[in-house]
Amino acid sequence: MTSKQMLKEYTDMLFKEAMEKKKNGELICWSSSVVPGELFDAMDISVIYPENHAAIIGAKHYSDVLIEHAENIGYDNGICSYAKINLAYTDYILNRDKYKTEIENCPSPEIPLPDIIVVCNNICSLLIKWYENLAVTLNVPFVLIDVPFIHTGEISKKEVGYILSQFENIKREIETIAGRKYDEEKLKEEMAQRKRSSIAWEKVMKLSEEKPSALNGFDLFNFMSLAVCASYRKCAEDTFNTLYEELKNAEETNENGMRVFWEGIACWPYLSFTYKTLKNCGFKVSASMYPDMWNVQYSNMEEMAAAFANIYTNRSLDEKIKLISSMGEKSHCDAYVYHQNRSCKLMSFLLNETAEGVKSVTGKPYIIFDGDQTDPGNFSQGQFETKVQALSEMAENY
Amino acid sequence: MKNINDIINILNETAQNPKKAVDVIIENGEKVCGIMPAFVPEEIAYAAGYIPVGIWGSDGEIKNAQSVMPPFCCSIMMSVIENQLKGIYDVCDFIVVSSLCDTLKCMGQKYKGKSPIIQISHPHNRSIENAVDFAAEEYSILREKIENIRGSKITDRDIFNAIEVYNENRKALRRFGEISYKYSDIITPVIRRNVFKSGYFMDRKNHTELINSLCDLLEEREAVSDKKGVVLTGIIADDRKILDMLYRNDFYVAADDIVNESGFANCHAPDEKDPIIFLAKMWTGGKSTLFAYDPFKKRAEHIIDEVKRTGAAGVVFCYMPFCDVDAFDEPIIVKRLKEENIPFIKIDFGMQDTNYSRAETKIEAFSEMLEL
Repeated sequence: MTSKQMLKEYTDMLFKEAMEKKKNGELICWSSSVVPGELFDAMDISVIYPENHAAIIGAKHYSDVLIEHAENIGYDNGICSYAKINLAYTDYILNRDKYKTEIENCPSPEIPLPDIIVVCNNICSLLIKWYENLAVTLNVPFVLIDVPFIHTGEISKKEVGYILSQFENIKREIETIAGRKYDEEKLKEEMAQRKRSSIAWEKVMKLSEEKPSALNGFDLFNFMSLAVCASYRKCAEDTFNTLYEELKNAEETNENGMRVFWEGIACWPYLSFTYKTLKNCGFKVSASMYPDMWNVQYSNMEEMAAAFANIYTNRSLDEKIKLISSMGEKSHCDAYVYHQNRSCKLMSFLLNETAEGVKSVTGKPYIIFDGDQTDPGNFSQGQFETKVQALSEMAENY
Repeated sequence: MKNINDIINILNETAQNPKKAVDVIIENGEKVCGIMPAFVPEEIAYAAGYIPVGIWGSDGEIKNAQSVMPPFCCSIMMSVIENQLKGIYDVCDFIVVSSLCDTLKCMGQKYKGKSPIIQISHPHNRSIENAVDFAAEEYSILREKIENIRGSKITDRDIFNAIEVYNENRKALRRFGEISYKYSDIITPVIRRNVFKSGYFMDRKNHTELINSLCDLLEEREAVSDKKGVVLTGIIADDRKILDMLYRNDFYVAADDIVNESGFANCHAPDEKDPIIFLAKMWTGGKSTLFAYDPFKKRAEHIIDEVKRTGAAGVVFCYMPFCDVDAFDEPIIVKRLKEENIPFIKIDFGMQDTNYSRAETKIEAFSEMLEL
């Protein structure tokens, strides 16, 4: 199988498996996207990632329907579009008879409702509020892995100690809901698997450091789905290794154009448009911090706590600038594109400072464009095109 | 002894002219520091000899902030950035900000005024034992940073004294909150707000004296009940025009669930030998659900309890546009209020671009509906 075939097969398999398990009365967990999902999977609780599901819906151009429904059931226009899609989808499933057509028309695989939900707020605090609403609406237990914001310097023992104690509480919570003792051995196996998958994922991402390289950053956006949903399973490692071999052995690796760094979440409804616009202006996306968020490697619970707190969205402005500059330089980026994402305050409110900081390190030009991860109404094709053209001129004259 | 009007005039003047109030503090030789939202242990700064001043934004046109902050930022922080660009907060020796929401996380990194900024993180999982340890360590770092700015150590005794001052102030404000709704002929919504707000721009010790005197004088009066009570809920309810509209339409504020009003007053903790542990437990044992992890949405139940306790006729949701806390809580609160047959309205309390004619129409309609 090619890596693309593997991606499709395994992604479909994960959704099907969850639906089957639900039918058989087994437990389902809904989780935010950067979470040690093996804590649940090790106890045979299938983990579904609503952000991933929302991204699929966005990429398949159905998000506007769900966003409108979320607003009709009382959600403000200003909140995260992933949250709106998921809360609307939840309402559809809870009222299946009434929304039969909408569910049938939804192009994503169906997901079963959860028996437990989990959030790690390392990627944003809004998730806590979103999942509180799910907990109350679905009357299911909500476990929070609270990762304090690392506002200054490096992570310290105080954060690690606090996070570690939460892992133990979560295991007890899972034992209660599963009705059996926690399977520490299986957890160890899955943690080891996550490490192998993350190493394979990192290997793919590091192809951007070669010149020429067959890797396009948009490939990473596509394959990210498995990194999010299945890093603790072998299928992710296998897929990333296959992708690596394909890219490494690709015949056409000539590179004549410029390389660009994409900072922020992809605009899923406009993935193709943004790709083509960049390509038409001579750019190839070579690097992005976003896919790197799922390169999480650890060997024990203490390292796990540190790894999930160290996610770059949870770091100070200075650290962000260092990380982006370093990745951009290693990937030989000629320019930087920053996504001011209407859905994501944490990834948008420091963009001016981040962009200027990175420019002071790399000297490379940048643009900031207005967009949204899944709300097509918050993206202007004209603005994106104009800004990318301007960036192209700036980069060529650099 | 001052009479009621004298006290109210001082509180009004302070709350409505905070810059002047802060200038007076500085003219009297005191040092000030800024305290941004929310639940910052400002007792540590007070113990170090600073008068903590609340930084919750202000009314006024946004001219320059939008060039550095996207338009989907809440108006409190948009206003703070605008004021920072004008240099308004430069009188502070330092500023402390929490990381309780995504906007605050960014603010701690973004703030570029002359005053150094100190950011702290609170634990959200407040019920686990290590949460106290984590908060205490964060607060100890805050203490060290303030000591470095001050150039000398802050003793435990100084912090205990500050805790005592703040405890007395919170107690006085709770007392005021419990009785003020009985005197709606004097305590209008604006005056009630000013009672709470003025504390952010004066020494809490002086504030406590004023509030206790006010309460003593109020309790000498006959209670009145010629208006309709409402419970306010939200991050902030600081728009004088809207509060005046409520009064004109025969509403008084029966109780509030506002972060910088009762949210401040309701913080308390058991006695501890270590003052930092005491402050940590004030957060971890706190009842306020705004900003905090609230998996059962107790915020909705708290509002309902307050309506029942005070016999209020309804609820005013003081909505802060672009605030994720309010935006996600709203549908759940609305559902629960409907289930309990409690009337409510939602009014935007953004500090800029408020549509007053729309707000007035909604408040008038709400008043008429309640009279029916």
